[in-house]
Amino acid sequence: MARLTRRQFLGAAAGTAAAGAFPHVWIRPSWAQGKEIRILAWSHFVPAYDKWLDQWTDEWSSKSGIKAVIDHVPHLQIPAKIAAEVATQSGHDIVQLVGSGAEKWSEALVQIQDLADKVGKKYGGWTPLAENYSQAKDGKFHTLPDFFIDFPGLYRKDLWTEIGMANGPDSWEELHQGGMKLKAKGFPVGIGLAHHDDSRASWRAIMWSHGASEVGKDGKTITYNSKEMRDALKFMRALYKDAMTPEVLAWDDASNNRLLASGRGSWIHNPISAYRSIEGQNKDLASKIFVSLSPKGPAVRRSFANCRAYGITKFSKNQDAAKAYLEALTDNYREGAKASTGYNMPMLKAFAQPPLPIISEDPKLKPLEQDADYHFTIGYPGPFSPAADEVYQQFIMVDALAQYCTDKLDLEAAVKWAEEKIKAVYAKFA
Amino acid sequence: MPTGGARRIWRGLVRDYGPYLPLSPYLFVVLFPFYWMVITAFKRDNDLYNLTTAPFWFKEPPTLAHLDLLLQHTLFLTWLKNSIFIGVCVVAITLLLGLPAAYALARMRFPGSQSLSIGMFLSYLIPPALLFLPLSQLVRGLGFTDSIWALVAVYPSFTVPFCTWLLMGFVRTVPREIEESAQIDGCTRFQAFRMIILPVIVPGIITAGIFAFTLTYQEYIYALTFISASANKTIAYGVTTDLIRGDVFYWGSLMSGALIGAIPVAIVYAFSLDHFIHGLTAGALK
Repeated sequence: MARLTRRQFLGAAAGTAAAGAFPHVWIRPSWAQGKEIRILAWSHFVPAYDKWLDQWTDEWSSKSGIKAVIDHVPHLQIPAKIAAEVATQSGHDIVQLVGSGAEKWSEALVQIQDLADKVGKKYGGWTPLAENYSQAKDGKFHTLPDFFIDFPGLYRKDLWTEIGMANGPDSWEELHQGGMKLKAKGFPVGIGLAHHDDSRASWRAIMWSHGASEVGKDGKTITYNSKEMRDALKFMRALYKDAMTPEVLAWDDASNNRLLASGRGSWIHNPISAYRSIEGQNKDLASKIFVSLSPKGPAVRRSFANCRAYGITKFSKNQDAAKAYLEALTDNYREGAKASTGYNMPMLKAFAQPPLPIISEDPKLKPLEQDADYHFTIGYPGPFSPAADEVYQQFIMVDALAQYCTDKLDLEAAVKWAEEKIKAVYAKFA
Repeated sequence: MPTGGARRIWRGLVRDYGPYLPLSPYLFVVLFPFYWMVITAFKRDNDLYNLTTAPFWFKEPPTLAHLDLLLQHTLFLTWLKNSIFIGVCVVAITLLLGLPAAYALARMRFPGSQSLSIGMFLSYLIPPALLFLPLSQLVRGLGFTDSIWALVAVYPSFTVPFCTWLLMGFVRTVPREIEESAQIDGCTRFQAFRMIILPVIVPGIITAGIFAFTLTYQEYIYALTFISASANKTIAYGVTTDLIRGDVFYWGSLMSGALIGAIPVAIVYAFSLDHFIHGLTAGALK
């Protein structure tokens, strides 16, 4: 057999690669096809939900005669995608807003108050959280709320039972007291103090539970410099020093999941995705993990809601079809919530009434039935404004907290540092 | 005191293996990520998250579940084909545009040639995060929205300047006299370029091709911006889309994807290594 030279091999390999890839060139791009709507959605934490959504969308397409196609991208990349599409005035007919950004993009989205009214009327009205999230500064809905991601407590029942708190901590103070004991046993508490979603969510929950906030109800008066804020900061510093480890300063969104999955964490503040993934990896550990309400503070129980809503782009040529799609999707909310294994939380009052799919059926998750009552979003107790969104995006409050916890700033300096930055942001949008 | 025999053995060891000692820290740094990638690709999740054992080996039996998830439940092979196809197209475009440009800038004297060559290199330094918005307009204008042709059109914007700059160095290594001799013998400038310059700078062409391919293969921002449909995604974009879901990372499958994705690049490097090294050093010496 003739010996294959390197040159022959490379030539043959290049030819084969080109031939193999060639058919893909002829996949018809969206612009070349007929009437259809395209939807930009995040890659859901629960893959089964995406499967359900894709399947449901196909069914809707065959029933309605309008082809609907969903493109999934990671949630952190959605803002860049929307920015490019708005700049070119082309792209998806429906875009999903993930957490921040709903207010920012409201100008680029169709005002859909009529659709929000129609759907709201059908299902008992929108929750205050939904209204706060989706109403733009004109007071009208520019996005249609889909669901919110809650932040309950996930705790190791076996460890908390050992210290006489079998149901886990019900208040932040109980978390501090129990966390101290468990850290001493090698099982720290995990709340991030870094630049990622979970950190800013958990800190807002603690802050609000202490009666503190960055801004007043009017969305203009900066209220950061308060006794309540100082109490919240002092509490968090004590929790960090007594019940946590410095690794939280370098965390990302997956880090607290890993802490719990490693068997080393005693309590984390996180959506149930952490519990669900452990269920798939380690049944024994999962059996020890329980879910509780987000702890209450000295003032009240409050937690942070990371919202998901759909907007219809102004450049869409099929806005009526997009509205029909969103209405039908909302009609099927319960099916979707089921597919999400209890991850999606309701933003319509009728859906928030127990029994909730999956959640009400699982004794471990049953506490989450109450979540719609005490979860709030960016800017609370004021509106979800562009200024509030920017404060959120810039991690101002998390940075002030981290500097205080690590002794880089004392309490007064941390309050002053954050207050000045928050005031500057709000002044920019005044 | 060591005996004479032991001393001989020791000397032999030092002679045979001593030269490798300075290399070992380098090899550790370079190879450890690959090692970690391989064991994570086959480790059970439970084993991966277990902090009570040494993380550098398996405590539980290895699993193919991550590979199965990657190959059976994602469009990984399609993404791989897309990446290779786009890479090959971009290399072809880059060389077609870069070679004549490098020749012109290295050989010809015309007003602004110096500043043009510097400007070309500087354009490579503009970060993609600034360019993706204007390029979106271009892609839309070309009618390539959500098609892999969008990436074939856009990627040369960073590979051509870089490779032209690289190739200029190689063209300059070719003595002008050879080319002039060819022209005296009746070659046109283009024939001299084709028959004299190109064969001499083959190592440079291979080096530029490899750079263009790897830069394209690993690109993320443009792929994210211009591609939406799953069937049109590239490896770097597709893998992160399907295997990072918020705070849930499918580490095993991510590592499997990275491992398989590295194979084409490794093959290209392995079979062009001699040319590549020769190309790099030749360019450097000039």
